[in-house]
Amino acid sequence: MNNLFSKGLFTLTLISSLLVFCIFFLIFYLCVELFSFEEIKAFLTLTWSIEEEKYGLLVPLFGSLFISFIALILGFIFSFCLASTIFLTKSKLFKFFLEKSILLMATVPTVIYAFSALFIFVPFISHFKPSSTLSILVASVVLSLLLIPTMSLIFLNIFNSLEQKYMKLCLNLSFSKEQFFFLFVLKNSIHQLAQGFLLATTRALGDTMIILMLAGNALAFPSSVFDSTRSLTSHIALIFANDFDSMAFKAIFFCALLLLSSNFILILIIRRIRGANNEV
Amino acid sequence: MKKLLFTLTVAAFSILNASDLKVFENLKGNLDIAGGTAHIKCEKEAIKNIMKQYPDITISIAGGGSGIGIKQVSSKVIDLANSGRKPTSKEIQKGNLKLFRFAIDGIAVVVNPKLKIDSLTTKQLQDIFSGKITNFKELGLDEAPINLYTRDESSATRKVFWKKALKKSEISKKARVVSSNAAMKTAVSSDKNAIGIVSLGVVDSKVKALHINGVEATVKNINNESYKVARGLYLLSNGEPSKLGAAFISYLRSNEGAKIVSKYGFIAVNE
Repeated sequence: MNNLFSKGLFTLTLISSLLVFCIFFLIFYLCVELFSFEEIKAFLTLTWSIEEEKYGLLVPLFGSLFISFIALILGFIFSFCLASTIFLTKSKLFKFFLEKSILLMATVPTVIYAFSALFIFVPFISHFKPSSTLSILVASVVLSLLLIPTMSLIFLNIFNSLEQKYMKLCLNLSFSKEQFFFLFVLKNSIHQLAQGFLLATTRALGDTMIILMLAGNALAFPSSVFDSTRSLTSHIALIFANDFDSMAFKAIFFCALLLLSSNFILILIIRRIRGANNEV
Repeated sequence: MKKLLFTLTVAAFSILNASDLKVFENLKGNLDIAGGTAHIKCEKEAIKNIMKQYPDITISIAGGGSGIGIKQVSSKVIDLANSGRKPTSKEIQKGNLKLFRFAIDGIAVVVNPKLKIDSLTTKQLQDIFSGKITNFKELGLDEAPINLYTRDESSATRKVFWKKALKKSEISKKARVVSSNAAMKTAVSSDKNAIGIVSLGVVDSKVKALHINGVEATVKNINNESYKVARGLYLLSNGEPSKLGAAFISYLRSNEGAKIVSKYGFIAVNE
C-alpha cells in the first residue's frame, strides 16, 4: 500500500515538474520565435510608450525588484520577530493567539489587503506626504503583510525542529531556552532562514493584485520610495488588453520569461543552499 | 380620483415596460458580456430587469476594458463586447465585428470634491497631464502637489480624452495608472490632491467634474456639442449577434432601455 502511494506521489511530482518545464520551454520558444535580437535589445530599455512604439521593460523589471526587496526586508524583520516571540514565549495563551493570527493572515485574500490599504494606509501616508499616495512604500508595506505568514511559519518550523533535536541536550548542559535560541538555534538555522527568505521572494515577485492596486503603475523610473512604479506582473495585467498582433501584447511573453527566469534562478539557489547544508 | 389616476399611470408604465421586455419572450440561455467599464452600471440595471422577468435567461457582465472586450468577442470567448470607442477598421475586419451604438458618454476631468477648483482650460490640462504643472499653486490655489491619475493605454476613456481634450499632447510617465473607471473614482475620492479622468456615467458626489474651457460636463452640453470630450458606447458582436444578444441590444435601444441609459448620465441613441 505504501509502495503504491509512493509511486503515485512520484508520478504526480513528475507530471507537475514536466508541466512547469513545458511552460518554461513554451515561453522561451515563443520569445525566440517572436522576437529578433534587436527587439529583445529594445525591451531592455527604460521607455515604454505604445504611441512612440517604444517597448522598454526595465522600469517594470526594476519596479518588481524594488517593491519585492523592500517588502522582503520588512517581512523578514516582522516574521523573524514573530517566530522568535512564539518560540520563546512561556505563555501558552499568547503563543496560541499569535499562531492563530498568522494562520488567519494566511487565509486573507490579497485583494482584501489591497482594498483595506486603499482606505486606511493610503490616506494615512498622504497626510504626512501629500505627493505620495499610491507608491512603492505603500505597496511594499502591504506586500510584506502577505509575506509574513509564509516566512514566519517556515521560520517557526525551523526553530521547532531544532528544538526537538537538540533542546534536551542543551537543557542537560544547563542552558536556558533563551540561551539555546541565541547561541544554538540562530547559528544553526541561517541556511534554512535564507531558504525561507528566497521562497518568500518568489511569492513577492509573483504578486499582482497588491502592486496593481497600490504601487500606482507609473512608467517613469522611480527616484524614491515615495514615487509610483509598476511591476512586471501589473504591467502584464495592464497591457493584456492590447491587440494580439501588437508589439505591446507580444511583450507579455518577454515579461513572463523574465518572471519565470528569476523564479527559476531563485529555486536553483535554494537547492544549492539546501545541498550545501546537507553536506555539512 | 388621484389614486385611480396614479394606478392607471403605473399600469400604463408596466404595460409599456413589459412590451419592451417582450423581445426576450421564448428565449433562454446564457449571454456573456465583457469589456468597457463605463457601460457596466447601466447594463447591470437592464440585466436585473431582464433576469427578474425571465428567470431562464442568465446574463453575465465583466469589465477588463474596451481592448479586452474587442479581443474576447473577436475570438468568440464572449457573446457581446462593451467598447467605449469605435473599433479600428483592422479590428472590425479581423473580428468580423458588428457595431451597435446605444449611448453617448462624456469623459470628465475629475478632482477630489475638497479641492477649490471648478474649471480648467485646454492649455492648463495639457500642462498638467504632460507634467509641466506639478503644483496647484501654479493654478492659483494653495500649495499642494498635483497627483495625476490616468487610465491604461488600452483604455478607450484615455484614448478619447487624449485625442479630444489634450489634442494628442503628451501624458506624463509619472502619472499613476488605474485599470477601470471605478478604480479611478476610488483613487480620486481618496486622494485630496488628485486629478483624473472618468466616464461621465460614473461621476457622483465622491468626485467633482471640472468644466473644460468654461463648459460644464453635462448631458445637455454633450447633446448641443459644446462639450466636445465625448464618445459613443458600443456593443459589439462577432458576426450577427445571437437571438439573446440581439434581444439585449434591442432592449437597451428601446424606450425603457433609453430611460436606464439616461438615468446613468448617458445620452441614449438608436443607430
